[in-house]
Amino acid sequence: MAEFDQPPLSQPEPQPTGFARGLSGAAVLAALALAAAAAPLMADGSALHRLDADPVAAALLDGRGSLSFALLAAVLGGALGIGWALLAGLAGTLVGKGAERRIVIAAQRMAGWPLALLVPLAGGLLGQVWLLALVTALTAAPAVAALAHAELSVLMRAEFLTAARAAALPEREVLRRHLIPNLMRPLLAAGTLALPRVLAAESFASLLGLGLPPTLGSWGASVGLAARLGDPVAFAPPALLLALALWAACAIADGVAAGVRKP
Amino acid sequence: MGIAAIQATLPVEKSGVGKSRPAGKTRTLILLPGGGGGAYGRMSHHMTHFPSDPFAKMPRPVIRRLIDAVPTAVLPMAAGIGLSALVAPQPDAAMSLLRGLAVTLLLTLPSLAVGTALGTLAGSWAAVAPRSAGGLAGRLLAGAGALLPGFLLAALAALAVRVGASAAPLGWTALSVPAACQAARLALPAMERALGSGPEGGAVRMARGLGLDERTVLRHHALPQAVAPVMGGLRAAVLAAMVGSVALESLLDLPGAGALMIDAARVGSAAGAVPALVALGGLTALLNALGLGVRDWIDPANHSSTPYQGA
Amino acid sequence: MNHIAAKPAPVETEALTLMLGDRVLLDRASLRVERGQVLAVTGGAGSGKTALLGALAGRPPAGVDVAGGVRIDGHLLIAQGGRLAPRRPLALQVAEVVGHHLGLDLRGALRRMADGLDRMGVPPAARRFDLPPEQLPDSLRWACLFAMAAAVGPAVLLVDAPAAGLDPTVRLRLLHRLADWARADGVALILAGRPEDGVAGPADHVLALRRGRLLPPIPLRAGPLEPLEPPGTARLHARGVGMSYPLAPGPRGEARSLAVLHGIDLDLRTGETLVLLGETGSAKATLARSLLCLPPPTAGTVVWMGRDLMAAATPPAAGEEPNHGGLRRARRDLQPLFPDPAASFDPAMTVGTQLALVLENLRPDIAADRRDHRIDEALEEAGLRPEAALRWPAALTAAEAAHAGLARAILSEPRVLVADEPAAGLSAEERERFLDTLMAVRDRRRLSLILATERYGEGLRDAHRGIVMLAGRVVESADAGTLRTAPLHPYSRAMLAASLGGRPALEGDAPSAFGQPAGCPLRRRCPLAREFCAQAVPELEEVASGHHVACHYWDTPAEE
Repeated sequence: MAEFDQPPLSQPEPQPTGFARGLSGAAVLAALALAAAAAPLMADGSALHRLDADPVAAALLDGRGSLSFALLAAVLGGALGIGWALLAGLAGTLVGKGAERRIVIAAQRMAGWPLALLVPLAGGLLGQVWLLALVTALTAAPAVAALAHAELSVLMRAEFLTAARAAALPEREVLRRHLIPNLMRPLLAAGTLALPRVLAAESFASLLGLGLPPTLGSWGASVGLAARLGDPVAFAPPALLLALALWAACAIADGVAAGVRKP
Repeated sequence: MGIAAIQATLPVEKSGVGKSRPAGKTRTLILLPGGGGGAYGRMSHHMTHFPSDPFAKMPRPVIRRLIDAVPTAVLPMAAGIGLSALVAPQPDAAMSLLRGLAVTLLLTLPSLAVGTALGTLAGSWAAVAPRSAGGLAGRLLAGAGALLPGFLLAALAALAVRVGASAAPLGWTALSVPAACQAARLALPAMERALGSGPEGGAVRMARGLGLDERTVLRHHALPQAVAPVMGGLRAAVLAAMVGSVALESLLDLPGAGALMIDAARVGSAAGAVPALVALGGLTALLNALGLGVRDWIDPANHSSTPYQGA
Repeated sequence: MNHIAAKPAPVETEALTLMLGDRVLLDRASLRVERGQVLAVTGGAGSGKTALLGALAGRPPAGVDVAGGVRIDGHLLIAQGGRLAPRRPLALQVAEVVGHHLGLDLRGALRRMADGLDRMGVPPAARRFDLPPEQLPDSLRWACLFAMAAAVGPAVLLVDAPAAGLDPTVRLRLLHRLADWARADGVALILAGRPEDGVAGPADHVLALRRGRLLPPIPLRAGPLEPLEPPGTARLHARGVGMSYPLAPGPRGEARSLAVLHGIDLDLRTGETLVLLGETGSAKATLARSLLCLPPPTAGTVVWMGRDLMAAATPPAAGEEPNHGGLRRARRDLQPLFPDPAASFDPAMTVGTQLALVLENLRPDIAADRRDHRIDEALEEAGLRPEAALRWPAALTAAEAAHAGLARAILSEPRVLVADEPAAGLSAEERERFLDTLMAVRDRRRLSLILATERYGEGLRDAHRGIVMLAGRVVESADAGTLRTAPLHPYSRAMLAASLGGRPALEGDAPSAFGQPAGCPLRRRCPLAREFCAQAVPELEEVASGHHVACHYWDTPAEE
C-alpha cells in the first residue's frame, strides 16, 4: 500500500492553526488571571482609592471582578445552554421530533435577539450580583444551546452507533460507552462559547455604569468612567486588558471548536 | 500507433512547459454588474425554459424580506412605542422613543453597510494578495476581530470627543470597524479555501482550466464564495452593532433609543426601559431582514431557502 | 511508435517528469495523442492523474515540479469534481466560457450551447439552466460541462475524473457521447479517472499510471479466486420486506410516508454469496440494513434459523422482559460491513478496545484473557497486523479502516456477512486487495455473503446468485452466470453494458424517490417502453428455472 500512502493532491491536510490560537488564548487568559490575583501585592494597600493608584495596578485589580464574574456567568451560561440542548434531545426521543425542533428553533430565534441589552437593564432594575450573573448567563445560553444541539444531532446520526447496535450493545451501554465519551468534547466546546459572550456583556453593562457594583471593580466600569472624564491615562490600561481578555476568550472558544472538528 | 507512452532514457532537462493559448479571439465577457439580479432579468429573454422571474427589479427581494419581517420587526417597535405612550412617566415618551429609533437606525445602518462591504473586500483581497496594502489591512482586520468590540470603540470615541474631536464621524467609525473586522474574519478563510487546493477550490480550478481570465475568475468564481459566509454572519454583526450603538448613544449623550433605555434603567424605571428594549428588539429584526434581503439580492441561489431556521 | 509525423499531433510530451517534493509522480513519459483519439489514463487515488492533466494544461497543481517538454494545441481542462461557481446561474457561466473563447455574445453563446446539449443527449425539457449548479442534478451538470466543451470546440479536451460519482449507466452514456463528439470533430480527448470509474470504456487507448509510469492496464480478475462451492440449505428467509419513512403531515393533517422498499422476498442459503445490484435509489442498502434489522423494516418478516429477528429487535412493550438473548444470538451470526468503515469506528476508542467490546458483548463464552488473542487472529485474517489494534480510528487510512471493519465483522464468528458497498471508498489496487481478502475470508469460513454494490461485473464475479434492484423492487433475479452473460431485463442489460465499458441503452437519469413515474419505474428511460408500461408495475415472473424477470416486454424487441 506504500504507493498510495500519499494523500491525493486535491485533499491537503488541514492546518491546525485554530488549536494553536486556542492554546495562546488560554495562556493569555491564565496570565491575566494570575496578574489580577497578584495585583494587591503591587497596589500596596491603595486598593480602596482606585483613581489615586497607579492606573495599571488599578486595572489589574479590576480584572479580579471582571474575570471572576465572567467565569461564574460562563459556567452558568454554558451549563444552561448544554442543558437546553440535552432537553431538546430528550424531548426528541421521548415526545417527538416536532417538540425537539420547537425547542431548538426557540434557542435559534433567541440567539438572534439583542439579549446583551438585558444585562444593563438587569443591572439597573434588579441590582443584585447573583441576579445579574443569572441574566448574563441567560444571554449566552441560547447560542450555546443551538451549537450544542447541532453537535448532538450530528453525533446521533453517526455510523458507529449503528455498528455498536450491530454488536447487540444495549442502549444503556451505547449511551455509556459511545455517546457520553463522544459528547464531552463538543458540548464543552459549545460551552466555552459562553465565555467571550458573558465577558463582553458584563463589560458593556459596567461601561454604562449598570453592571457590577463599584466595590467589585470591573474593566468596563473603569473604561466607562475614564471615557466620561476624558482621561486617556486612566482609559488605556483597563481598555487594553479588556481587549486582550476578550481576544483570549474568543481564541479559546475558536480553538476548542477547531479541536473538536479535527478528525 | 498513434498514442505512444514510452519511458525514455533521455536525460531530463528542465525546460519551460510549452503552452499555447486557445484559438479564437480572447474577449472578456463580463455579464454581471455587481449582483446577479440585473443579468438574471436580461437572461430571461433568451431562455425559453425560464420560470417567472422574481428578480427582474433589484430591490424586490429586499422588499419581500421586509414584508416577511413585519411581525418580528415592526410589531415590536409599534408595541414598544405604544407601551411607552401608556406606561412611561413623561408625556412625550412615545415621540422621543420614535425619534430615538430613527437615530439608532441612522447610526447602525450606514456603519454596518459600509463596514461589512469594506471588510469583505479587504478580507478577500488579503487572500489574493497577502502582501499588498489592502491585503495587510484585511489581515489586520481579520486578526483584530475580537480585540475591538463595538462598545469598547464607543468608549474610545467618547474619550476622543471629550478630548475635543467631532462626534458624528467618530461614532460611525466606531460602529463600522467591528462590522468590518467580523466581515474580514469570515471572508479571509473562505477566500483562501476558494483559491486553495481543497475541494472548495474546485470552482476556481475549473474556471482556470476553462481558460477564463484571472479577473473573471476572482470576481465570479472566488469572491461569491467569500461573500456567502459574511452574509451568513450578518446576524452576529447586527447584534454587535446594536450593542455598540447603545453604548455610543449613552456615552455621547445622543438622543437614541438605546440612550433612552439606559437612562431609564439608571433611575430604575422599568416603565421607561422595557418599551425601549422591546423597540430595539424590533429594530434588530428589521436590520436582520434588511441583511437577508441584501443577501438574496446578491445571491440569487438563496431566494427559495429559509435561512436561520436550522433543521 | 512513429514520432515524426507530417502534421504535429495536438498533444505531445517529451520525457515529461512530474515531481511532488521528492516523490516522482511521473517519470519521463512520452505521450502523443492524435486528432479524434480518445485516451484514458487510469490510476488510484494520489497516483498523479490530476498533476499530469494540470501539467499538460500548463497549470500544474501547487507543489508539483514539471520537467521535460509539453506541446499542446488550444485546450480546455475540465477539472476534478466538475464544480462551477455554485451560486451563479449555469447558463450565465457557460455563456461566459463560450463567449470568452469564441467572441460570441450571450445569445450566440447560448445557441451554440444548445447544439452541444443536443449532442450530449440532454432533452430540451431538462434544460433548467437558469438555476445555479448546486440546485441541478450532478448528471445534468456534467452533461452541461461536456456540452460547453463541445460548444467551444477546442483542439484538445482534458477531463479529470469525468462524471465520477454518477451511476455507472448514466456515466457511461455521457462518456460515450463525449467520445463520439471527439471522434466526429477531430478533438484529442484525454480522460483521467480511477480504474473502476469506467473511463476506459469509451477510450481508444488505455494507459494506467502506476509507480510513476504509464503502462498498459492490468486486466481485472474476471472470475472467482477459487471455484465456488455449491450452497447448502436456506437459513435466512425474508418475506415481504418493506421500508417506508414517515414524512411531514399533509395539508389536511393526514399522515404521509415514503415507501422506498416494496415487499422483497429473499432466501439465503449457507455458503451462498448473493449480490444485490442496483444504482442510486434502488434501495439495495436499505434492504441490506433491513435484513440486519438495523433498523427493522416496517413491513414483512426476517427469519434467521427459525427465529423471527424483527420481534427480537423491536423494543419490548412496557412490562415485558427484553429478549436480549435471542437478539444477541442473531447479531452474533449476522454481521454487517459498512460503506464508510472509518465512520463506523468510534473516534474516542482505539480499534482494539472496540473489537474487545464487540467480543465481550457477542461472545461472553470466550474468557477475558483469550480475547486479545482472538482479536489479533481476526486482524491478521483480515489482512492487518495485530498492532493495528493499538491505533485510533482517525489514524487509519481508508483501506486499513475497511480491513479493520472486516476484522470486527468476523470476530464473533458469524455465519452471514451483510456488506453494503464495503469497498466504496477504495480505488484500484486497494479495492482489489480488499475484495480478495473478503472472498478469502468467506471461503475459509464458509460464510454466506450478501453484497450490495452498484458495480455489476465486480459484484457478480464472486457470487452464486444476483438480484437486480430498481426503485425498491427486484427486477431480475438469476444465478450469477446468467446475469453475467445473458440478462433479460433492460436495466440489467444496461448495467452489464456499463460494467463492460459499453454504451448502456438507457436514456436520461433515474427519477428521484419523490417523483417516481406511475407503472414501471424504468419506463421513461427504457428502450422497450410502450404505453402499457405506464399502467402497471410489472410483476416478477419466472422465465426459466431460477430466473425471474419483472418486465412487460422483456421478450419483445424494441419498437422503432
